[in-house]
Amino acid sequence: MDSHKPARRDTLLDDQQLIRYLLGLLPPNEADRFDEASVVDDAVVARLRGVEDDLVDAYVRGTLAIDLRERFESHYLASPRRRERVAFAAAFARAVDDAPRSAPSPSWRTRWIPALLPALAVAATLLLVASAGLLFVSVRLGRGLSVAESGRAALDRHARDLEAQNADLRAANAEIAKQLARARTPAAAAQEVKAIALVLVPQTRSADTVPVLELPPPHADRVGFELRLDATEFDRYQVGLRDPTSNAVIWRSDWIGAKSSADGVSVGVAVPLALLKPQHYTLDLAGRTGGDAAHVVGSYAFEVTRP
Amino acid sequence: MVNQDVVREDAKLTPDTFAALLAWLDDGVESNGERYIDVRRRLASYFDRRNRPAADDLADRTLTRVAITLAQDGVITTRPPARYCFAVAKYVLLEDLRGDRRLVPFDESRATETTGIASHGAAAAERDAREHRLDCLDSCLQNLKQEQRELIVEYYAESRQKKIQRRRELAMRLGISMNALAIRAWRIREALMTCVRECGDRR
Repeated sequence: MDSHKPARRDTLLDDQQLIRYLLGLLPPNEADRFDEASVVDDAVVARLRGVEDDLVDAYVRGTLAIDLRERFESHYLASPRRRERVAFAAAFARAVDDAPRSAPSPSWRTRWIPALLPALAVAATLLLVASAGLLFVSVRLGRGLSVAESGRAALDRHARDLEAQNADLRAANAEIAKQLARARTPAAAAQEVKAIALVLVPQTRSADTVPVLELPPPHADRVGFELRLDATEFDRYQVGLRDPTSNAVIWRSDWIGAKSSADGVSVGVAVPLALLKPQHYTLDLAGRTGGDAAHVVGSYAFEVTRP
Repeated sequence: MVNQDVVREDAKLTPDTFAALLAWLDDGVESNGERYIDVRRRLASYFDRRNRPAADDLADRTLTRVAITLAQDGVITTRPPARYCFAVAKYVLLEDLRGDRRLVPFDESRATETTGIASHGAAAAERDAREHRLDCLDSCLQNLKQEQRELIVEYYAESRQKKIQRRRELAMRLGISMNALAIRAWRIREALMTCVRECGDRR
């Protein structure tokens, strides 16, 4: 098919051209050629399907460059049929990203159940098991009751140590709570460098590596982000947290100023931890000066995982 | 090749005309109906990319007209068969566009999105739907063979390793070409999507 036009057929198999076709960015005569090839040419059909799935996956993972993402949302999502593809892809991407690579697990979702037991309880359990194991081995070796008693004494010492650790943790929690209370005010959130958990740079290409954020311990209630800027173009900035699976902005910061440091210019925000779950997100940064209209500055993708 | 008289005829398919259509689409290579399903899917995608709301219906209408032409004329010489189907599809698209001026289907889900005012009830329903979709996907994944599950995880999962390189290595391990691997992965993914859709319909 089309073998008499080898040069033109090459363009039909070019991934970038196929993406432009899927996003309605080709001129009409070019789009007509792709329309025909998308039904007639087996090789083009296969390539187009692969490119479309990769494009949709990149969108739901929040790794599309901002210009492509905007075009994707205005053009590709205009069809209910394609929106269904995107909804499926959102679930599918979560499933395959979370699945083990070699041996499939009985259920990938069961691994998402949050660890509800406090770390202290886990540590205590491990110590109890270890101590019981020690006792068992000692008795088997014939050291008798005296050894068992010394094991029990060791267990008592562990219990006392745990109590002391628990007190230390309570003190540390109180200090963290104070820091978070300070970070909750917008001004402090913008300036609180110590609270920053992840430094993000703007996405420029779809192939950019997505930074990974491991969820912090359950006692934290906010996560800090520092969004790096190329330059200070605006007086104030606003950050929106977007969930690519629903394409909804689920949280917005106040309008805040950028700050300069030895590392460059950046905007700092503290996002409520309760909003984050293991999946991809983007932080959309908008800027404005005075009473002017807001402008899109950039998009910062990241992935949340459990430790 | 195709003329207005042919594409404007409307009639029902009989079992014989449908069987003749399947054989003609196979073009000498028996596919047990796979080729028909594939061409129908291609046509539906074409209509969808042209933003036609009833893309599946238009694909069916196209193939019905091809079948009737085949039954009337006894032979269609255009090769490959998909090229003739596309020629008919273009007429069907034009007809649908003309009809669109009189009747504009209402895309309810889109209207809800564009208003930007989602009620708590709608948001809760969306959460429920997403949760149900995940349950369905979980169940559908369990129905795959182990090697199929491993293949799609390896093929589609995001990782720090370059995607192309990872897929090339997977193709080498399986002893197949990159194209064959892409087609295999796509088929499993499509089957999963169909399974999830059917699971959702049963809700």
